[in-house]
Amino acid sequence: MDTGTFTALVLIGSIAAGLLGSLTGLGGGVIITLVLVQLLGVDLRYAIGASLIAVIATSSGAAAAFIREGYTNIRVGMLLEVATTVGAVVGTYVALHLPKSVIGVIFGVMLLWTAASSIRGRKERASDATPDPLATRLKLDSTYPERDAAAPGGVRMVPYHVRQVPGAFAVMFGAGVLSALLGIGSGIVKVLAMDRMMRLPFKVSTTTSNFMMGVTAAASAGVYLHRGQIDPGIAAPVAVGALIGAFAGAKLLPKVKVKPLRIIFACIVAYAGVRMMWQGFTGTL
Amino acid sequence: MSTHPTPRAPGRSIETMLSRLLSAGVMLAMALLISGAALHMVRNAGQARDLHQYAAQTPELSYPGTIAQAALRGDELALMQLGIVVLIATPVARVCFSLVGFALQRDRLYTAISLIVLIVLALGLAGIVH
Repeated sequence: MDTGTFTALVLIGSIAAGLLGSLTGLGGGVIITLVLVQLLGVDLRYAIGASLIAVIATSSGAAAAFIREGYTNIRVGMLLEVATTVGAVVGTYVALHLPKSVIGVIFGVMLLWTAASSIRGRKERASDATPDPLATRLKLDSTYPERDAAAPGGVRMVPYHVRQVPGAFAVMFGAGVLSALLGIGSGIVKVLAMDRMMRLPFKVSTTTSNFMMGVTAAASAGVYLHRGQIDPGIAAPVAVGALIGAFAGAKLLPKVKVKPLRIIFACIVAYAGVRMMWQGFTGTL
Repeated sequence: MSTHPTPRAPGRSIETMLSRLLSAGVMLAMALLISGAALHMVRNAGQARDLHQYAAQTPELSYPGTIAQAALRGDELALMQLGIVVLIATPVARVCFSLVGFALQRDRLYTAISLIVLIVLALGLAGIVH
């Protein structure tokens, strides 16, 4: 297909991916790679490179807004970024030496996990009242703003404690590896580490992990750039589309019922996951 | 976007600057990407690109120095790639900003942590892995 058509299709696909990712709160990067590889026949390696750029675009685009709002826990983010960036560099090394079919199978497994996680939804655990000594030493406990008509200025700061730091650190290393290997933001892994293990409140974990995704992706993007795996003809419309989609999604979020979207998302992703794994196993990727 | 006001705590001014920096970076990147893509579509209208096979790319598009030079010459692919480089730079700038912020707050622990992240980023971007 000619350049114009291709670019337009990539743009549309990326907007859709950004929208869906933003509305479901799960990876848009995953959908972008899917659209590129399965629908447009782009080679997996180019798709991963392009998707990585989209992750950075949406992360920095959203971070600009989130930082101002005061939910992001920069210390937690920075600490965990040590794990994710090292993981990303390791993941990049692994990716360069792994055959495409193996990456495809891993991707398929990741897609299935995403689908399952998407249906389950997130459960906010009640924040523990007891502080964790390590977290206290690392100055991770913080507060986040919540609307309260009775409080001065209409806002009160809710304190929360952070737990299971070493475990979360280890899990985030894995998130970094996956991010570099598959060109995704590893949102699911981060939910596991930050929601379930560290017990961060939703908004804190969502904004902080969003903040971190860009840094993690940048750690591997440089390598992919040098290796020529980032094709501007693909990555440019992908980045623009993902950003537009993510912003549109953020605006639409309050007006949309998320549950049916998550189910559609889960079905598409599950199907694609099985297909990817099959293609990986049969070497037809 | 949130509609409630956030109280100004100490250290917020750095966060505001950071947020503005990120917005500016993203907008600059978008301008480069969009103008490059528009040129690309106009100049290559009707031509097909084969992206089924992964092929090693022209080295010109793989290093920021040569990318910038080519972009200045009006190479539309380089223009887009420059937008991508700017985009990749935004999270790095963010870590630098946080590093300075922690240093100004005399937070030795997190200045050190930020520095470690920056070093790992630099290693990755320098292409230490190949």
